[in-house]
Amino acid sequence: EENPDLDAFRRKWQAEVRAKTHRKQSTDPGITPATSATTVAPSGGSGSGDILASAADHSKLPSTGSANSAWTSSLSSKDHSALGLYSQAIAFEQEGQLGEALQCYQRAFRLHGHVDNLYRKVTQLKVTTNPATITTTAGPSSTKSMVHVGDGTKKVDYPPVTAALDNGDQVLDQGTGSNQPLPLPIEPLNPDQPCWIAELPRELQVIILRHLLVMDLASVSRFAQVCQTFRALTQETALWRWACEYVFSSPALEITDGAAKPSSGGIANDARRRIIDRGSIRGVYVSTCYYARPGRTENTWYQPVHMVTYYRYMRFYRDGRCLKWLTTDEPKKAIKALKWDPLGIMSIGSRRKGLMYGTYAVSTQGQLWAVVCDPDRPTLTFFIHAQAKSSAQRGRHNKLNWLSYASMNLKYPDEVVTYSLTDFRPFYFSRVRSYGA
Amino acid sequence: AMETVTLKSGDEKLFQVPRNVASKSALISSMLETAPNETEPIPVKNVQSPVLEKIIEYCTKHANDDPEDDEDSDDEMDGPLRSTDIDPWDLKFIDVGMEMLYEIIMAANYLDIKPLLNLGCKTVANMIKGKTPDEIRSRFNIPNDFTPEEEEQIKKENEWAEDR
Repeated sequence: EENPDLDAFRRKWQAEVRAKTHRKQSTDPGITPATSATTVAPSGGSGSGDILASAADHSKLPSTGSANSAWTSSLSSKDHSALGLYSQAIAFEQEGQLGEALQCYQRAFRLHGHVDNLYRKVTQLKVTTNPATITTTAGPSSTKSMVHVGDGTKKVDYPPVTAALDNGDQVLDQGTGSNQPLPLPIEPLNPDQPCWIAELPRELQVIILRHLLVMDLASVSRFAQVCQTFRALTQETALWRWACEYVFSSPALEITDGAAKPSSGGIANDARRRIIDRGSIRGVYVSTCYYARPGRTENTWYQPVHMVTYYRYMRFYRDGRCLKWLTTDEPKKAIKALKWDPLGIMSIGSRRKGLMYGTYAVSTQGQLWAVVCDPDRPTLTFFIHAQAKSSAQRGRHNKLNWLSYASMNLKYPDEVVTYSLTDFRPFYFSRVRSYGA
Repeated sequence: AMETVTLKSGDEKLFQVPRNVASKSALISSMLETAPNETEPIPVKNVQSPVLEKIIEYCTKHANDDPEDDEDSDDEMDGPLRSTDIDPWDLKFIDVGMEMLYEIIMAANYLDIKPLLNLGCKTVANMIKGKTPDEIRSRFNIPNDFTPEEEEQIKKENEWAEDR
């Protein structure tokens, strides 16, 4: 399944890289001299892989090292092509040929979705003597942000992987002198105890992440901040695509803005964005209103004024249902009562007076539409149109501004009553943790 | 008498279980379909006896569940259903040490027992939920391998999730 174009390309850049390596050697004694063996251009990638693997076997590396050597021999020729392209991309990038670099990065990633991780592993396997190099291999994170050329990552000095693959045995021999354990993707924090989650196969880690995503989106973000491997997991297109299907599968939610255009950020990004944006209109929003009511008194010397506080609550469910409630109950009490219970089954006694039930949808631009009904007033339907706002201090979509509020009486369907919004104050997101408990 | 099959764990212990219990495993179920008259013990090489015992306990409890429920057992993960999400028996069943939890997840995956796999994964997700990155690291024994610059960058990327 080798591609002739690819082979030709490979040969060309291998020659280039080799020439470059020679140049470097004359100035830098720290780099292993290339031997005549390097002039034999490998036809596929597998040959060089064998060299690497056998070299790793000969070298008396610590136990993690032998695990790695087994791992190296499991690489397919496609993996090697991807690695080759990746290192070529790095070489281009270092020379400032950003267009070519980008192309190579793209091709490498097409051949292997995580070629960056792979490359990191291979380079870690090879270079163990020079501590400076070890720090650089742990350098840019395992995401496509690496592809952003010219953003300062250029300083990082990558060992050209092809040269190393070609005379891998020498580089490895160099490495045998060092007793430093080779870094693995996840090493236990406490070496006496195993790291179970890291030993799970990737597809099971993904299932865990899906559960987490459905439970609490914010926790996914914290999961991403744990380590490189977890971060890579949260960046996978498949995860966010799955989440989109999961979240948007409800027919009530298929609404797009006229202005909405397909995002240029690529599918993964787009899917992630959609979930994050949507995920933040979820949960409970509270709008606090006040009015002053003149108090009555027999005494003419003072006029008491009562400040009355009342609240509008909206709770949004993932599946497109929502609740709206106008009450004087304070959030502490009210939020517990915000449950989907139109028939009054769960709340012992009577239904919550004034609690309205309905559905909602959010556009990609953060416009929200909701239609709600009050079971006590079955002929009335209320329409809410609001705009979700974000602020740097308080977070994304933390605020809902009213755009319009209207109602329709089924008995007089031609008369839509639009309410004045002067007494309507915006809703603010209220982080509620109690639902899961 | 109830039809039974015999399972052989990785450490060569034999377990005789009702056929419908063993069939909770899609893997064993399809094996039984292809060789319905097989009387030899079915080897479950990748699973050691303490784990297999746990698995059988779970399958016995859930032997009569509607298979439809199994299919979309990961569909009811939100809203008001969340609090009743994990059934109390399951909750107690999965209240095991980290090592056993890992073994159960691996075995459920190998034997293809979807609801058990979901139960295990959901339990791990619950351990992660609401925790800070540091708490997750110490819980799961994971070192922080980010450079300070990366950490800064990642914090920025994840601002959307922070407290509002």
